[in-house]
Amino acid sequence: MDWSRAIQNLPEHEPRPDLWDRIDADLRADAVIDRTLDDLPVFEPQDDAWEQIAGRLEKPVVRPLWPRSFRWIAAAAVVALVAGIWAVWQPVSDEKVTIAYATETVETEWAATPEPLPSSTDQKVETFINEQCAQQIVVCQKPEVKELKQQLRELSNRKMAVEQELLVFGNDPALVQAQIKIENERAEVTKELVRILRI
Amino acid sequence: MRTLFFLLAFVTLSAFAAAQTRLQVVTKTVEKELTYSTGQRVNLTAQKADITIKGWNKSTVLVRLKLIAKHPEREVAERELGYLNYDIQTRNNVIDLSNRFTIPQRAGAIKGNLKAVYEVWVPTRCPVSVRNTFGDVSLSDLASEASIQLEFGKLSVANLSGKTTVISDYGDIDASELSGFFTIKAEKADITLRELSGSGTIQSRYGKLSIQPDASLTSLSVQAARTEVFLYPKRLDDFQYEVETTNAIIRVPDAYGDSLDANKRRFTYSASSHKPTLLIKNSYSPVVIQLAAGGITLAK
Repeated sequence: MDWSRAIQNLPEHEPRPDLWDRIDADLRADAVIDRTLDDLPVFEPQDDAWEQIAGRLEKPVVRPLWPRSFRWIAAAAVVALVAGIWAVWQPVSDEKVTIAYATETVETEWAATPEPLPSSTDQKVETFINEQCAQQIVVCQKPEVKELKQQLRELSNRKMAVEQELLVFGNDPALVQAQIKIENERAEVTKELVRILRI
Repeated sequence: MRTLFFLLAFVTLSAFAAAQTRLQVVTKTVEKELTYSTGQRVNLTAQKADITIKGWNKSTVLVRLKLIAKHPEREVAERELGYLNYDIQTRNNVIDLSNRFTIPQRAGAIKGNLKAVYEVWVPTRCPVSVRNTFGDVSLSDLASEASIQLEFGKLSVANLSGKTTVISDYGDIDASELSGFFTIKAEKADITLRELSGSGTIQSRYGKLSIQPDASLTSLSVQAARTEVFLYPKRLDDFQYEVETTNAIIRVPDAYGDSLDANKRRFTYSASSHKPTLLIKNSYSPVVIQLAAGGITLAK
């Protein structure tokens, strides 16, 4: 039987239509588990835990393991083993660790920074965009608008991610700068969307 | 009058004092030199770290990692330094370097400021992979495969001549003397490439891209969308150009206006068919071609 015929005769299998979604869901679940692992609580055992365990154990019976004459050989072997381990570990432990203390003066934010406006403009814009899209279906089908809307969604997700980090790390300069970048980008995309949808 | 002066001085000084805080800085420095054999890769996975990687002509990898905690109270800084963990290990053919934050749940949020600073020296031919978020990365003097992935922060590369791959989300890029083969994929990044040679492709969405090509650039393809693109050749005749935009214009020096189509959407120019070709596509944002003034200045 020749090759091409043989290949044609192979059975065909279609993957299930939801296979990609399942793989995607699995990957996401793994990522969530990985992240959550780091957040698991750490428990310290009680100080006297070992004593309690030892107390519950049966009293050990001491029995000589080897005849007296073998003890010296065993001891010598242990010494040799320890020396060996020391020799093997020696090159690995060339990690030098030092701790240093210093003080530094840093700028803090002015107490009198402008108060955020007490408005819910973000939500208003979202409502505006949705309303406009409901009325002007044609405009919203334009690839430019679709892309901008997608962009705005991505930016909002990123904004939330950085806000999460800020909750953990506080007002860390690198994070605040990232937040500024996202907010500015969001502002620009939002303005452009509103400009197009107003027409 | 004098009272007013004192009052003013008092207000100014107290305002100044209020804007500053004294922090206790605890720094744990880990230094390790690792033997290197050809073909091994250095793989750095970092979080919130500042990273400097330099090629050197020794045959070892030297890692100096500083873990830094800052807080007005020393005890807090010392305790939180313990949340910063690291790993320096050789596994098979990979030298793994990483840091991570392990914050016990009972501690909730971090009170101070935590940071990791890497300084790594590798043999010039050592392949390097770097991943970082919220921090600055600097790579220089490498002739190997280098792949960098960053989110936010800033990437500076200088004198990379191997195969360079950069993926950046929001991370600004400043490269000088990039050659060999390069691939840059960026979103919302400000990218400046000085003395660009070799050959490669750049994909950019949003942000800004400034390129100063060296005459030894052999090919360049820019696929941009909504990115302001600036090209600063030293001599326009060093290259052939195929530039196209949609929904935005192309600007070229007046003397080359003839090669621009009527609505300034297409610029095709070739002084000689032997010159390397620069392909640029962009949408919704302009492409500006301008002679490099003095060869170095780039509009920021």
